[in-house]
Amino acid sequence: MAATLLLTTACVRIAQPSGWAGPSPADGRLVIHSQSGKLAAVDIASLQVDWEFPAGQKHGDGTKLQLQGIYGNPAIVDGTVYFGAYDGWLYAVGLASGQPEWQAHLGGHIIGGAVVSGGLLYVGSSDNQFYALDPATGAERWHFQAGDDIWATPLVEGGVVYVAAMDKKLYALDAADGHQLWPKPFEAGGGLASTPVLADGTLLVGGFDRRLYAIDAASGEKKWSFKADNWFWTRPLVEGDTVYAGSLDGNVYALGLADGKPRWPKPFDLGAAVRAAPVLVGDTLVVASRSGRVAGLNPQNGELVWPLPIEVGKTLLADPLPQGDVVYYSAQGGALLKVMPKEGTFSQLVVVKATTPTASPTPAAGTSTPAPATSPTPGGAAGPSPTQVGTP
Amino acid sequence: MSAVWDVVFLNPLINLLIILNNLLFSDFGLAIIVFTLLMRLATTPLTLRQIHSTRAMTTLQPKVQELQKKYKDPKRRQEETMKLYRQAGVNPLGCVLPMLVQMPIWFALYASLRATVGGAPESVVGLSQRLYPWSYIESAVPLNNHFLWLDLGQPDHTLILAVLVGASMYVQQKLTVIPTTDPQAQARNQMMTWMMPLMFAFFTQQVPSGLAVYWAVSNITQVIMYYFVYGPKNVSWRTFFSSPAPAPGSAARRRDRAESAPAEQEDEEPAAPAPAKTSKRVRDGRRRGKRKNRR
Repeated sequence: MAATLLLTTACVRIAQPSGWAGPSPADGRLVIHSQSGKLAAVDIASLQVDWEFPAGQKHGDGTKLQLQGIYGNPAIVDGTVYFGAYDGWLYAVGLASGQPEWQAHLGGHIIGGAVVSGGLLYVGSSDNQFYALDPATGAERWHFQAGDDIWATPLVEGGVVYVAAMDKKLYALDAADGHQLWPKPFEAGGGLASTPVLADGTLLVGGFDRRLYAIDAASGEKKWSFKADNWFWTRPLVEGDTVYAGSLDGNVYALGLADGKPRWPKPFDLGAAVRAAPVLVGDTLVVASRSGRVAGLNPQNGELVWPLPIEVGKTLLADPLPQGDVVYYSAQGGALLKVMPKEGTFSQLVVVKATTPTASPTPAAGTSTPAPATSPTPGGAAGPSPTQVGTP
Repeated sequence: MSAVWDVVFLNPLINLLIILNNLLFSDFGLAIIVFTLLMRLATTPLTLRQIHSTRAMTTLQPKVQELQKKYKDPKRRQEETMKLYRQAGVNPLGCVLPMLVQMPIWFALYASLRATVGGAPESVVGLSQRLYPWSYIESAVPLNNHFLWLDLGQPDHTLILAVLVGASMYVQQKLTVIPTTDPQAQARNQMMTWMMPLMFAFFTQQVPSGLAVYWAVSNITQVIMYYFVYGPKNVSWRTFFSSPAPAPGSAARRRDRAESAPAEQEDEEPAAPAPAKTSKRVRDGRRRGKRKNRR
């Protein structure tokens, strides 16, 4: 009996990281986190996979590339896809070819997305460091040390990088050299994992202390905060003078941007944790819960505009991508869904793998091994070391 | 039912685990160790009762087998068997009940580790639904998954933990296996003694190392408990390197069978000491059995 008990417990599967990167648009393609746990470029018209990454590549030490999950949305700039993976590597992959251009190993899992702005590539890591890299080579330009993991995608606006960290702090850094711009970072009551949003000089960021904060972007002082029944992990949406944010308590809230007061008579209850960001398509606010319930709401009063919410039967945690009058959702496990807000319907897109992959596992010519740059910031030059991708 | 399970068992344990993590310098590895020790401590009375009852039942087996041979009518046999148990002061459910009571606790313990040890963002979303709304607890997330050389959310590929889990389970199996006269049971015991440690050593390479730490600590704790309950007489190095010992009575029985006519009855004697009340009665029974054999 005891043996049976032990064996039963031993055989129970532990949830492994799978990633929740949302789809990103690029030249008639969607770059998605595929069902095979890879990054894939899918032609929107034909739904054919143009390439998948990795395709058998190995690290410099001969170990096979295994992303383990992609959480942050990739940044696609000038024909290159930049993304960090749970395996701790930051990758630059050619959009046309799917071939790696460079890769750099950071010190911990990469959960936030990468952002390219002003000629630098920004990304945070679970090694408590925030990195600014050269997007052409992956060489480090500067880094900043926080007090805990950095899980959030940074926000770069007007030469300032806003970095939310799990040490409960929001930092404003000079985008050029990484020095702090506020007298002291803003401090919340819990870890900050959601991507900050800037609107009318107000930064909005949600925390694991169940609060959504509005912060003055110039000074870092708190303007207001709103408390829900569970954590805020969604990227808020600001439309006009209203902030829309979902909480892991299962509710979607509409709050005044100026004062944080609720705008709807009551929040919309989706019945399960809300991690995916709300998006506005036409006059419909589209929201989704972890359990796969998607609802189209009237942004003015929070009433359902569809007859009923739709149940897609998949776990939805990734931020959706509004494109024209449709919304693309990437479900856990890699299924790609298209929601039509006007009709209140959805369809699961069947992505077809090309029989002859266009991407060959051979590295593209010119993928050199650049030397890491010297860090200009205090704390030394210990940073990511870009390496060339080997062939299988 | 699931909600009741979560509220009554799972969520309190998860929150306790995180409180321990905070008290132990945000070291989740230490929290797992102390958590396992606490749970072992809390279930010690049940574990001891189970061990004692199992041994007492084993001790009575020769007499039970005598009754089975003596009475062909199932009802009468049942009555006599129950009478024997009553006289010996043994509750037949004494072996099973403590285990049944412990099962939800161990399932919940395992489930609480599963919920916390992963460390992946998906696990953290799940964890958010289980934490009490106290900033003391919520501020611990994300948990620090580094302990010694381990990333508690990832399998340990160094083999150290696999060896530790396998070895500790082997020792535990060797100590707690109940001697039996049944050759099939002996073979089964011997197989389990090797198979279980090997299987768990293999599992250790597949699951997050935080769970393997729990297995190792749990095994080691049980070995230590056994040592203190049964004393050094029953724990020697020879125990670990010999095949599971059959009950001493079984050797005598085999000799009897070889030397004389077919045995009238099964005779069996346990190797380990039984509770005083039971062992006296069983010793009496053994003498009677031997006299019978001599006749």
